[in-house]
Amino acid sequence: MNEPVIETRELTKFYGDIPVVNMLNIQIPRGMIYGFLGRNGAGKTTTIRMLMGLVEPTRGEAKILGQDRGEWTPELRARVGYLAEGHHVYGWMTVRECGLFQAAFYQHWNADIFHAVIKHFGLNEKAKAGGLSRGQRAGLCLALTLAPEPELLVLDDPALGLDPVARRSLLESMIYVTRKQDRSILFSSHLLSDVERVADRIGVMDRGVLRADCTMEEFRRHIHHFVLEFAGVPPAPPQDFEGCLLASFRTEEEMSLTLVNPTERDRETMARLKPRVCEERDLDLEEAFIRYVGDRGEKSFLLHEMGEKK
Amino acid sequence: MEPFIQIVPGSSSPLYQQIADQIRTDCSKGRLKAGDVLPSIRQLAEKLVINPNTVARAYAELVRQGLILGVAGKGFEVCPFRQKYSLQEQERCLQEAVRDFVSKVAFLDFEQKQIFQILEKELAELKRSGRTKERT
Amino acid sequence: MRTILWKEFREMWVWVLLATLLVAGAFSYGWSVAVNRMFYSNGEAWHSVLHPSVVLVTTFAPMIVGTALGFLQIMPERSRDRWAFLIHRPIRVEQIFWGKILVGLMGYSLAVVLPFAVFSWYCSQPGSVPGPFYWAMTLPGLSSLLCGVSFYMAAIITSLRETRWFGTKAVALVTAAGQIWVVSGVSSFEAALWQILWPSLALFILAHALFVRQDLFDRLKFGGKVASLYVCFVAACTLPPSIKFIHNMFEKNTSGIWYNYEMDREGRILRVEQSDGGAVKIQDLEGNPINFSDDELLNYPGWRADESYFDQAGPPSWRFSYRDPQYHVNELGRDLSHVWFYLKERRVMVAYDRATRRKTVELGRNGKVSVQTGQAEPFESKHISFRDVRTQLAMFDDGARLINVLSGEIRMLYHVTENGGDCIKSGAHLRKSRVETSKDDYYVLLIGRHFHFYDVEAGLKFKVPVDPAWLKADYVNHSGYYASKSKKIGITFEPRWDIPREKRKKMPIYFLVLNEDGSGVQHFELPPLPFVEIKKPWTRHLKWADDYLLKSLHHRAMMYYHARQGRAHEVEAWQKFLQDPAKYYRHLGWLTLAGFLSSLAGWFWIKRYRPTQDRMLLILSLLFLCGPLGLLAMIMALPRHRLKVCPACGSLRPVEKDHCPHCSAPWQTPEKDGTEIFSVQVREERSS
Repeated sequence: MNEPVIETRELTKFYGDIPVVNMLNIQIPRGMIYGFLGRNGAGKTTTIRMLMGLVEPTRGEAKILGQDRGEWTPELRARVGYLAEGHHVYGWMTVRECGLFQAAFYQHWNADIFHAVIKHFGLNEKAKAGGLSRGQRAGLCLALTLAPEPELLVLDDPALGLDPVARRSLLESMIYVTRKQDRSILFSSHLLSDVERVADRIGVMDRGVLRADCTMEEFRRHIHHFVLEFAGVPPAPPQDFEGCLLASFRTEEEMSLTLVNPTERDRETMARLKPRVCEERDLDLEEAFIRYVGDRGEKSFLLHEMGEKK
Repeated sequence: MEPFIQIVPGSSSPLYQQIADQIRTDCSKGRLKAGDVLPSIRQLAEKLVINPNTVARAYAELVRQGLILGVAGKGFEVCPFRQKYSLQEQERCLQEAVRDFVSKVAFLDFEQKQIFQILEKELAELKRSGRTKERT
Repeated sequence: MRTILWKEFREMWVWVLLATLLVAGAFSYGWSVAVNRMFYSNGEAWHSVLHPSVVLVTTFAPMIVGTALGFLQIMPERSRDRWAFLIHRPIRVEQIFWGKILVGLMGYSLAVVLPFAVFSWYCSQPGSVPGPFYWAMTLPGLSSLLCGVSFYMAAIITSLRETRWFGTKAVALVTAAGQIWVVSGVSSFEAALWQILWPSLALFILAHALFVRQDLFDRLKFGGKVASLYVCFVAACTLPPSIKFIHNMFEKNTSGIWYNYEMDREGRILRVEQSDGGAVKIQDLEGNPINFSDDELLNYPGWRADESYFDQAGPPSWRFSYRDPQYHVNELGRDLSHVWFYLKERRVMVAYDRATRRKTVELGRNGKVSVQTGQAEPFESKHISFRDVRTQLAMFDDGARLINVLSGEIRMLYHVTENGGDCIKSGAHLRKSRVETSKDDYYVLLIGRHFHFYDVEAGLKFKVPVDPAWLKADYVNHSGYYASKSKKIGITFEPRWDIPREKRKKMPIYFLVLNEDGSGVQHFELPPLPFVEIKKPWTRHLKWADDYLLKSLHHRAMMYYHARQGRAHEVEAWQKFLQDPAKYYRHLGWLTLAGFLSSLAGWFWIKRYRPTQDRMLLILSLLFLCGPLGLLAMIMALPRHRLKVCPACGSLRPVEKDHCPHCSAPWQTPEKDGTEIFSVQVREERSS
């Protein structure tokens, strides 16, 4: 079936006067691992909650596995696994009781997976869930979510608060899920390296708006970083770029500019500043991302300006 | 022999590129010989903990470059070397590689002679491992 | 579903156990207060489940326990992610709701109903209550217990509602509080059930709707919407009585001056003026001030003649509510060791020992019988009026008797059939000395149009005629005075206590004065007595609001309500109101005006939601009927639509709708700022 597992049309959510999610259009085809990136408060969690039927959108529509997000039926809930931020479980239950509790609801429950994950995270079946550490709780929640073998896995910031070993286990589980061709994953994260490892495509949200929807590599390819060296103090950065100027930084002899989708005219504009050298450098992923979603504008550090500002 | 691959996520080079480059380097160093079977896409993906599609892309790139070949039933096999490029293309590749090389060594405190010595040594290594075609 | 029950049970059992212990403890404490000899002289312990200290528990425990259980079941899971963990399961959300409700209600039953049931059972056992116990006495408590379920639902609704202002969240709790307020005032259990049924049903439907669907009015199904509006309406309806209640609270603190007619020891009728501060001014009927010595003024009764009280014969003219103990049990009086009752179904008098709390003696037609020996013979009359067993005067349907409960002697004072059919209106034991009954005392019966005076041996001494104009239905002869110095007797006729003060202020008071031997009969018609209130100035404003804003609507509604309850004079007042065209049409005019204004205001409010023609008409007519309270309810129930300026036409448009109601323009996609990176594939998908 070629139907996308998740699709939204102008999905919008207002909290008060602020559009936390603004006219979101996304389509996630089957079999894809889709990473949701963005700063805190960009609207990722709200979007996921709207998709899961926990929050009502102000406007717009969304479909999960072909069904409208307002009409969650038990059958649909059996096909979608959801791991919410915070890794909640009922603290008074033991690990074993958690498993039994969860299994009672699902027709299809793979106990081997459950026990494998539990064992891998080193959980004692008799331990009370409330006494587990953050990472162990994450493992428990992961076990509970993976055991029913859902078609679609929705993970909201699953690596939050996890140590590197637990994070690695999480990634391994996500790869494991893709053993079956028709399984899809939507997850949100702040860890760019993890996202680069597993995501087929990423979506970057900025203040409620989806600004990028592409592969990781395309994302990086569109962001260009130029370093211009000058004889003396660098001039002010030009404001008339055709591509978008994300950030600029001036030191005593250098100006660096980060641009998205620069054109030939932009290179000419830079040349017109008459730098001694004008080089394009590679940015690593994290730097590129920070400039993309961070505050726009100039970040200067001219020493004599500091002296005057006193 | 298994290729030795270590990826660095977050760097400026895409992951599939890193994988392809490292396999290519292994081939040129002789760790991988013609006829060696590479690990399957899924195996490598699970070993490196990355998306299988990335591995698939790397392999596809190598197939396009003629370095490996997909064989039904066996997987991906390292090909014996076969020159695909035309002479002009080869010259262009050489020019590019040399330019890159020169820019990298330009600021080092070596004399030309020393550089040539090291260059000769590397080429000799390459010949010994059987990857270059002898031009007589 | 079973798993949900298991989970809820495991989470709640500790709280339920705690609540059970607390409630049981509260009942025990309340009961210990009731039977404690220091408080309430424990002669009232026979009130058992209707005793004030127990009623306190039966009223507040359900409220507190219900609310607590409701909050405890929902609040801990209310944060978004915890809720997700609960809801995201392959079962219908309704099943989760039912699982919670079943466990909650079972817990509530265990915590509240069980202790109450056990306590009631205890009261029904002989030896626990010094009085007869009827299971019907548990009905008022039961009604309060049922109201507690409303609090449970209300707490659930409050936890589920997602509005920012807490006041709007707590609307359901106000509704539940209003319900128990009304139920506490209703006089019969059947009426109480009706009052319990509708709000409880609405609260239940609303709780179900909010749980299953999110708290967005537009998303609720029809039942949910109706329930939401009804709950808000009931909550709004508690506003006027609350204002009145607060107003009354302050009004009680006003100082005032009371006037009263009393007889002094000389046999003079005096007008007594008493103010809050305690200052007393006494005048005679001509207006001349009379001075008494300090000793006579300060010591009770001092200058006053000995006063005895008349008891009205026959069934009481007002109806007790089923919440009054006297509705169920007829107490005749108590002495130091026993409490006496009249059992209507068996028509005998019984005495319970206050110390052992057991029935010891029965008294019937054949005299006193100890319970060990057997049962007493029943009297013929179903009703008995017995001011106090110490007076010995008992009035039955068939006449009046003197009953000495100590000796068991019964003497017939007046038999109706033997004397030609005039029935007794009232009777009193006219004491001639303050302390004990003496053999000079009179028994006075008002039969037909005469006062009959009997001596203590049941012999008729003389009759005194009464002016028939004094025997009106809204008067009652209230007090009998004996002036020891002049040996005069005075009997008063006063307006009934349940007539409102405004009317009573205009009714004269009648005083009959005669000599001890029956001679010198004088009839005095005395001008009505005022009551002067000195109100605290600032409550004047509340009174204005009460009079003009609320009186028209609320007071008349209360009048109708009380008339429905069957209170005789209220029925009368209602009939008179209906028949008074001026008042009736004026009231109708007020209602129409209020309805019209509410509809107008409602129209302005509703415009932004752009309802269809039919909807608009329906809403406006409902507003017209429900008035300002309906308007308030609507404002509380309906969600606020956020409005933003339309980029196309400049007017305000609701954020929730796709197209502008003014210019039909859709919302624009957010501006591109050049940083968009979309892969080719995605671009194709988006354009397709």
